[in-house]
Parts: sequence; structure tokens; C-alpha cells
Amino acid sequence: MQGIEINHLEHRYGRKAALCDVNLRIPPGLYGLLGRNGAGKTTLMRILATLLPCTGGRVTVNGVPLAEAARVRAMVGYLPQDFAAWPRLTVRETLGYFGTLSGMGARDLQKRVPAVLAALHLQAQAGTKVRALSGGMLRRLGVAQAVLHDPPVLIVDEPTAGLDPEERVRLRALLAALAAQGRTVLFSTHIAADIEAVCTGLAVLDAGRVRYAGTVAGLKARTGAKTLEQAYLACVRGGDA
Amino acid sequence: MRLFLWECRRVLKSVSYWLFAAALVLFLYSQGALPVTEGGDAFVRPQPGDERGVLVPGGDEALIMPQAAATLLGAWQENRFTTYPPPLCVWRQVRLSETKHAALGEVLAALYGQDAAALPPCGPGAAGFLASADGTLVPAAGGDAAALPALRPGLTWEEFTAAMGKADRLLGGGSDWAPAGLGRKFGLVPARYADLLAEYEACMQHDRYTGAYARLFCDYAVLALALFGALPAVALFLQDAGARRGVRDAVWVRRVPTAGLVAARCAALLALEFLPILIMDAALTAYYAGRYGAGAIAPGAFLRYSVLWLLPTLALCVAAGALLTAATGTAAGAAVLPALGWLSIISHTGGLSDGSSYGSLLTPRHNTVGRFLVYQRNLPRLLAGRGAALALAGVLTAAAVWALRRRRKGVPLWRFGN
Ligand SMILES: Nc1ncnc2c1ncn2[C@@H]1O[C@H](COP(=O)(O)OP(=O)(O)OP(=O)(O)O)[C@@H](O)[C@H]1O
Ligand SMILES: [Mg+2]
Repeated sequence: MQGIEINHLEHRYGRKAALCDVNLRIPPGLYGLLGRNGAGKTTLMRILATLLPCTGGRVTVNGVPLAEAARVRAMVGYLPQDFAAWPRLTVRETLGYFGTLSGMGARDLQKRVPAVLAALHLQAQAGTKVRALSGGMLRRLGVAQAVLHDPPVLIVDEPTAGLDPEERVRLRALLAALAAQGRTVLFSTHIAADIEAVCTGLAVLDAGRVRYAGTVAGLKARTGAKTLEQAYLACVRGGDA
Repeated sequence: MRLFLWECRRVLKSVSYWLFAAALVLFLYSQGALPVTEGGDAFVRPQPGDERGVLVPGGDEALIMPQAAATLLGAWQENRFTTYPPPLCVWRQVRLSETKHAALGEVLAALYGQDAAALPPCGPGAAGFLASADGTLVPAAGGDAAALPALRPGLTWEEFTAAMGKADRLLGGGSDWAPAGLGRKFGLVPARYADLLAEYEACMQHDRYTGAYARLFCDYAVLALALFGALPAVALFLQDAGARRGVRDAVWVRRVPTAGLVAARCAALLALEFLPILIMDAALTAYYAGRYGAGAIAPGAFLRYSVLWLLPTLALCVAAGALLTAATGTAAGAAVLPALGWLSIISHTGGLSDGSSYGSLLTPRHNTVGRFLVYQRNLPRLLAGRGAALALAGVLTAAAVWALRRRRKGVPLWRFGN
């Protein structure tokens, strides 16, 4: 079974509940995640990436339960929200090391690294040390390492943060193209327009609970708003009332 | 294998690795071990008469007991004792409080079978003593036991060592009278020519120069490894285990098995940290070949001794560095492990050249050129210690895998309460 299935997921940091009874079915395609700061987006994504334990509930990624961490890791590409890399390695070396950690062979890397650099518009920076990259370039390197091993499931936490408008549009198109090839792409952002432009499905998280899950059009219809941004605001504010 | 090469590359790019290599070489250089130019005595055939003035431990309990007791008595009479108390083992002059002084008097009374205050003075100048440079009393050469106060008849060695242990504890430890060191300090006898000759011949036959020099090289190198060997491991593991979450997550989400990652890293560290030693081995072998002639030396000696003597210590340092860093995500290992190395070094101050520290996990010492027979006699203890170090390194590496595996899943290593 393709996609991500989340049933009754809970997560607590000590006493504090970060996720409460989250139920989501994320099919292949590009799926957006919206929510306020502290809503639990990063927590959810880190659980899906096996970096946080799944303490309550049942979650499968392409049919594999999270408990089988090794199998899940083999399927997942992940961009951390605060991605960083080693300042003294070059962009090419960084990708070479990450690829090796993903079990890629030399031949594979020789093919994939230039392709990924081109896709993220980083060819000119291939030999640049990571410490000399700008914020937006580092962000794109983060996306590059996530897609490098061509994973069927992609979890990207705010990939468009810090990108200039041109790069943001380009990245959106890249994620849409990857999703169109049958991958499951989970994409969090604070820019509703990014989701409106490319996603079919989305979920709105608020205070650890799912406030809405469905299509972009569905949310707009439900709130009677013209843009997704307005619909989102109506959705989370409605919850406060 | 490719991961191993990548880890090597990362090690080579880390500052701490080059600091380690520089510290290792500078340390050996400053100790005069690159190369050892002195100590050629071991290779000079002893002449009859050379044994005069040389004292060696005799191990005769009938000689050790009165000498040790009399020096203790002499120090007690003046209430001035020289000790090297652990853990720092630096020189210290001890004056006992009245109660402790009285307690030590009881110990002496039990040894002599009479009131300690009634015993003849054993201070400097008393028959049968020499005062050594640091002010402690040493029995005169040859140990004229008859000139010393007589012990209680029927005193057994067991009773005696128990009393000495008590005295050592009263003094705060690290004294000449600690039971383990009695045989090194007391009961010294003049060397015999035949023994000197046997030592020389064994050295020429087995060591062929390089073996003897390699033991001294390892003796010094093992100190540098114990002090600095863990640092590159701490630095390498810190690059993700101790880094910001954004680096850690990008590494830990990958499919590489934790055991494979730790193994590749430890292997890379071991190989590259051993590399400067291999280079020095080659250079020193070439140097001694030039000095004594290629045919006169044992060409493989430096390599053999380095692998046997240094590799287990290095493995232990790397594994401990990996574990502490993987488990805590901090640079704590960079402080803790050199401190442990230092403790290991200073806890073997006495008797560096008699094989008594061969069993040490971190720092087995030899500390002299030659003395092949000492090495040969104590080889089983050296091998046992080296084997234990390797085994412990394996256990620590496995623990590092366990710790990293847990942290990778976001599970805390320890859970207090529920
Ligand atoms: N390591 C942690 N320990 C304790 N609480 C945490 C931890 N990480 C996150 N939290 C809390 O969990 C909640 C969810 O945080 P999370 O990072 O998932 O939010 P988010 O939706 O990604 O926010 P943002 O949009 O700011 O990135 C927040 O209230 C946060 O304070
Ligand atoms: Mg977040």
C-alpha cells in the first residue's frame, strides 16, 4: 500500500503533548502541511523519519510500520527544518558522503550528484565549501541531499524558507514533478500560496491536532474563502473561537 | 568499504587529527625517542667487575623484612615520611598526627615484639644505612641485616606484609612500604656478573638492537596515545552526534546501519592514528639499519612491537572516545579520557623497568633500552593486558553502537522513574 497512513498518533515531550490523536492518510502525490509555529509539524515529520519514537498509535510508510526503522529509512528522504552541514566539506563532497551513507555506489553517485545539482541550480557551487554558501543555497543543498538517493517518500520541512522568489517557484515545480512520478511528498510551509500552487491534498495542524485534512479546494469551499491563505486563517481562527 | 574511505577523508580533514599527530611526534621527540641515541650500554658486552656497585632486587624475604621495618622505624622516630600518594602520585612529606603516630608505633611494636620507643635509633648514620638523595633511608648495599634491630622471632611474611599494608594506609598510601612494592625497594643484592652477561647475550641474540629500541619507543608512544589518542575520535563523532539537530537528523535518517557507521569510523580512526606510528617505525628502522648495518638489526621489530604494544591501547582510546561522544553528544570525552590516561601513567611511577606495569590496560611501561629477559619473563602479563584492552575496546564499541542506535531513534539513553 503506497503512501503514509497515520492512525491515532500521539507524541509527548515529557509532560507536554505535542501531537494528539492525529489521523491522516497521505496518498502518493504532493501533500501540504500547514500550521502555526509550534503546531507540531516538525514533530510529525521527525516521527515519520524515525528520528522520534512513535509512542502511541500506528503509522505505516508505504505499508511498512515505523518500528521497522531500517526499512523505513531506506525509503525516506528527509529535509530537516534546520538543515546544516559540515563547513569544511564542499557541496559535492557533502552529497558524496550523504549518498554513501544511503548506500549508493560510486557509479550511482557519479550519475546522481550532477543531476541533483542541476535540478537545484547548484552546479556553480559544486566546488564551494559549505561554509561559503548563502542561506538559500544551503537550503537547496538540504533539498539536494533529501532527493539524492531518489527515495519513494520525501519529507521536506519548510523547503522554501529563505529562498528567493525565483528559486521558490523552481523548487515547487521540482517537488511537483517528483510527486507526479508517483512519489509521496510531504511538504510543510508557512506560505499558503506554495501549497495552493502545487498541492492537491493538505492538512492543517493546530496545537497537535488535525484541524482539517482534505483537498485544497475542499478547505476553500468549507470556509467560503477565495485564497488558501484566507481559508487557512479562517480555519485556525475558527478553532480558537 | 566506501564508507570507510569517506570516514578516512573526514578524519584527514579534521584539525584534531593533525593536532594528535603533531602531539604524538613532538612528545616522542621531546623524550629523545626519535631516535634514541643513548642507552648503548645494553649493547656493550659486560666485563667482569662491571657488576660492582649495581644492585638488583633479590626477592629474599629474610632480607626484605628487617630492612623495610628498620627504615619505617627510622622515619617513625623522626616522624618524617616520604610518600607519593595516589591519585596524583607526586612527592609529599608526611608528618603524622599524634594518634596516627601512636598507631604506627603499635604496628612497629608488633613487628619487633617490644615497645617501639625502646628500639635503638635508625636515623641517618645508624649502622647499615645510607641516606638517599630525596632524604629517605636506604639500606646499605649488600644489606647487612645483622646490623639492623632484630624482628620478633617467628614473624611470618604474611603477618609482615599485613603490617606494612596497615602502615602504608596510615601514611595515606603511596609509601615505600606499600606491600606491592616491597620487593623493589628492599632486599637489593649486588648484581652477579653471570646475570649481566645473560641479559646482554639475550639482548644481542633476540633484540638485535631494534627490538630493544622498539620497546623503549613503545614505552614512550603508549603515553602519548593514552593522553591524546581519544581526541580525533571525539571530534569525528561530535560532527554529527554532537552537532545541531539539522546535521544529526540528515545523517541519522539514512539507511546506513548504526553498527556499520560506528565500525567504519572506528576503523578509519584506528588506521589513520596508527599511520604516524608506522611512518616512525619505518624511519627508525632505517635509521638503526644505517647505524648498525642492515644485517645486524631485526627489520620487523618496530612493526611487531608497535602492533603488539600500541594498537590495543589505541583501540581502547578510540572506542572510549566513540562511546562517550555517541552517548552524550558532548565533548566530555576530550576531558575525561586524557585525564584517565594521565591517571594510568602516574599510577605506575615505581618500577617502570621491571615489568611490574606490563599488565596495564592503557600504559604498559618498559622504560629502558635492553632488559630482554625482563620482557621475556613478563610477556604473559603483557599479552594478558593487551588482550584485555582489545576485549574492552570491543565491548566499548558495542556499547557505542547501542547508544547511537537509541539516540538515532530519539529514545533517551536513561529513563529516570517512568
Ligand atoms: N525537543 C523538544 N522538547 C520539548 N518540547 C518540544 C521539543 N520540540 C518541540 N517541542 C514542542 O512541541 C510543540 C511542537 O513543535 P514543532 O517543532 O513540532 O512545531 P512546528 O509546527 O514545526 O513549528 P514551526 O512552525 O515553528 O516549525 C511545540 O510546542 C514545541 O514547543
Ligand atoms: Mg517546524
